Amino acid sequence: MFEGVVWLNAKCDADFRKIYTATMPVLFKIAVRIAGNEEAAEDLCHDALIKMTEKDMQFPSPNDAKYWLIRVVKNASLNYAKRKGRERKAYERALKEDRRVIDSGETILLKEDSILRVQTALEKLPENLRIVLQLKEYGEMNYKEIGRVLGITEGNVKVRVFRAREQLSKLIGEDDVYMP
Amino acid sequence: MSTCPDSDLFSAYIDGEVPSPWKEKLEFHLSSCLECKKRTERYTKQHTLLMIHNPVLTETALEASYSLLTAKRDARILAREHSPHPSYLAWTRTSIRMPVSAIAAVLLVAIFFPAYFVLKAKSPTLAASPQNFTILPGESTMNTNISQKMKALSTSNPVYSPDLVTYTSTKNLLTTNRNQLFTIISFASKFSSAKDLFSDAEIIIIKLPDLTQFSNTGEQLFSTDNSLPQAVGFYR
Repeated sequence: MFEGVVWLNAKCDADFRKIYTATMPVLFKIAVRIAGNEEAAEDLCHDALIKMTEKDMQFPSPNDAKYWLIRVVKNASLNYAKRKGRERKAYERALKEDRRVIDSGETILLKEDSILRVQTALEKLPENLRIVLQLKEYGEMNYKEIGRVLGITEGNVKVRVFRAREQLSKLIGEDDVYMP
Repeated sequence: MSTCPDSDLFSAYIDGEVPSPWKEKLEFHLSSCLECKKRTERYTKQHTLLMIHNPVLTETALEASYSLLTAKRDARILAREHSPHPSYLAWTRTSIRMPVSAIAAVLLVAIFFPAYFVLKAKSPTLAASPQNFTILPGESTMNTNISQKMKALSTSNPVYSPDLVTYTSTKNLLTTNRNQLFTIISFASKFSSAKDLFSDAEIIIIKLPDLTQFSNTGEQLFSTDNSLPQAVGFYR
């Protein structure tokens, strides 16, 4: 199947660099959105790339490397977000107040407010719907690629994206969204 | 209304996932149907809002990140090579997360069940019921009080019935000087109509056929094992 293809070897420095250049921007975007923290996102991406070297992975194309890396980064970011969520909850319990109440005074632009509302609504989606939408919007992948990363069919991706959008609309309360 | 296409098609449409002949049909429908147009606009709106503030790594940041990454990677590889723990022993240092219920189940199976059976075997209260005793001839220290509930058969009422009065009799099964061996002797002498039958009997040995060695000839029905009579002093 892969005859005549130059395989990319994660241990080879040139190939490593090639994979890095091809995948790092998109990996970073996904990690930031799922983990919600830029510094942590960079670390998570680095960990995934190092893991690739340590496991001595070989890929027939940069895209295959991308799918593998996105899967690793996605899982690591989800774990990170869960851990952070637990820590934040414990912290909030200790302080007996909700740190996430957003000051929606006049100082904040209406546009900023609606962006924030979409983001927080996205956080509230169940994980299997959220991840599909996040990969779609931030990973800039098509349904086929998302299906490959998640191990589901293209049709399933389509349905999940649709359900995620419908739930988002319900959570936001569609009429209130300010359209720039 | 019923002619509207499935709403998930519009979600796929704004993602550019609807191929050509269907795409045009959808667009045609959108131009006429207000409901579907609203829905599509809603999806586009969400898409736009989500894409704002999308963090991007600049070229310089990408380069800086790469040098950081290679440094980290080399350090990691170096640490692995000089690690005091070989990688094939890594599983000995990993910890396993286990829910509380699983731990409880493991404890139950591994500790409580065996402990229960061991204690049951050792404890006299949990052990065999009073009926299951053995008489060891010659064991002079055996001095157990056996309490048995028996349905009394009396001379006035020789027919057995479950409604008969229950007598409880307590006997020293085997005293140190071997005065009494079987409680059944006392019972027999007590309730027998022929009072003289058991009058001077000290010991009655009832020997039952050894059915484990049953044979056609009947020769081996009575074993020649004389250990019991010897033990109780039948042969002096």
